[in-house]
Amino acid sequence: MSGFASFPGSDVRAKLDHPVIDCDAHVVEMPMAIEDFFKQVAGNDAPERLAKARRQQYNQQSKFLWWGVPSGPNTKDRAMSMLPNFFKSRMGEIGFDFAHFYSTAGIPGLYIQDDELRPAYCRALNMLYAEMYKDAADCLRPVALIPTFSPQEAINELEFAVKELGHKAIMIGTEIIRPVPGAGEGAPYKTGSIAIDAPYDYDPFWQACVDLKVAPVGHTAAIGNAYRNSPSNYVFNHLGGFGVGAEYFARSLFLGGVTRRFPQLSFGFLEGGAAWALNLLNDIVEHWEKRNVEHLERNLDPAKVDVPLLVELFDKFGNGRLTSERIRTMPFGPLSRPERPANFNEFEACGMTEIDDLGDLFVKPFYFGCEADDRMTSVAFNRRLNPLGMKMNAVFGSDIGHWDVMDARSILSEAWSLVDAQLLSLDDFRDFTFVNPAMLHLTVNPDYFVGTSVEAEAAKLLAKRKPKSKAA
Amino acid sequence: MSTFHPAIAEVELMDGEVARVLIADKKIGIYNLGGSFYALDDTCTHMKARLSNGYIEDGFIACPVHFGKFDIRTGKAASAPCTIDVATYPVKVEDGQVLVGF
Repeated sequence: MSGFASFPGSDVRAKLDHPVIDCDAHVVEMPMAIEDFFKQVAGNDAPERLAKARRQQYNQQSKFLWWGVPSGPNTKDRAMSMLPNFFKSRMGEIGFDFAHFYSTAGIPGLYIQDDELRPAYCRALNMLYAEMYKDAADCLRPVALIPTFSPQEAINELEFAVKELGHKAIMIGTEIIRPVPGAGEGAPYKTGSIAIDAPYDYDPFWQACVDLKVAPVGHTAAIGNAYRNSPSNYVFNHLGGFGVGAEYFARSLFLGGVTRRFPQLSFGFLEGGAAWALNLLNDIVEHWEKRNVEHLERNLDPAKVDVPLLVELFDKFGNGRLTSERIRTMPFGPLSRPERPANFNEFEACGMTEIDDLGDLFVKPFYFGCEADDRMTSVAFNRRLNPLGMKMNAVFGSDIGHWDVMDARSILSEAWSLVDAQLLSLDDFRDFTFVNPAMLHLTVNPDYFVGTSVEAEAAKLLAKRKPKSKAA
Repeated sequence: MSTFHPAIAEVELMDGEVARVLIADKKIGIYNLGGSFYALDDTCTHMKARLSNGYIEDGFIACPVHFGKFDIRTGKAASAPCTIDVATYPVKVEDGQVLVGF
């Protein structure tokens, strides 16, 4: 049992003057309910076809999740992820005002290899979610699945999910995973991006997200990829996986120029925490400093190598092997060929011309899902770790329904322990559990919370929200 | 002869705070140090970062990227890696409005 049971989420909520929005609870789908819709979408033999396809699916040698849903004394937590009305009945004791529900079955479902079954399976789940949550829409919001192996596939399901089913939140496939052509059975699969060097132009999909007012959110685990491929140890494969999947997606969106071309969009990266994002941001700054065009041309252009100086130094400090004659013949070396490569300015697509641009291209549009027991969430709020001097958008995600939540009543209390430990201020906690989770969606759709239990608070937040122009 | 431009209302900038303003395409940081106002070019002379996102400490602004410092009163570069001063602008307060001259 969680040690926080004596200090339940309801006690934390009673201290707060703002709502708590859970960005990332999970629905645990009943398989037979999925089948009902899957057959409706893709025919009565669809479940069998999918089972067969999955046996042939990539990276089956990796050990995947097992015993992944609460049981024993926490059976209620299992049930609340399967039964929306039961979840709603417990919101008072867990201290939440509003919650989002991400797929369990659909996380791998987004990467089903069969090009007919993948979108059909996602559509079946989207239909199921629309039906499951319709009576609890005031405080529970399911998240639609959008497969993205091609932009048209993505747009088709996005339009159906939003226009036909009424979904307002989406989880997208953040990468394309395919077998290496001609590599044969058992060969590793290749991961490709949908945002940089993609096989198709995905801008129509990003534009559709703008038009339909949805924030693309990723929940990619990276299990089965090259460094997370143990056949014997799920923990080995799972550790850090969400952060790795998110980092790949974020790096692609930024350097591929998606955040430049679609400044209206916000993007979510769930369950991986925020530490990786701060690390990436700092790394981008370091690369920018040394790899921007001006610096490259001034300090790294092989044509500007001072050959006479090299010769002089080799004469003075060389030896029989490291001679001035040799360096005169080949002054450039293997990492310094004089020709300019294609895409010489590798920051051109993202439009970065100075460090400050990262505020609009990275810090503001990105939201990072952090679990309650992740003390590294605190780094998101530490401006001194951020080269932009800004706070990152950490968003609270409970992960209710999955094994890493032992007792739903304790989740908000665990998050609050960061305040008790002075790792978060009260303002940070407010941003973490309300402002940022709300703004992830409000920035894209100001009406996102209309008709919900947090409509009034969201409206006040939007009205008060001003660009952050002052810094102490 | 400088022309003075409205930058920010005096009451909007508390003691120890900085605000970035954009005036005629110039990015300027307005500082309040103990009730006295100062204006510095808001771009770090080292790597062009936004100084106003940095940290005010003992009359200096520390750049958020490499923590190089500038004297808020004079614009002088005060610690590595910053070696080039930032431009300063004359400031006056009239009718509750902070004005910047250039």
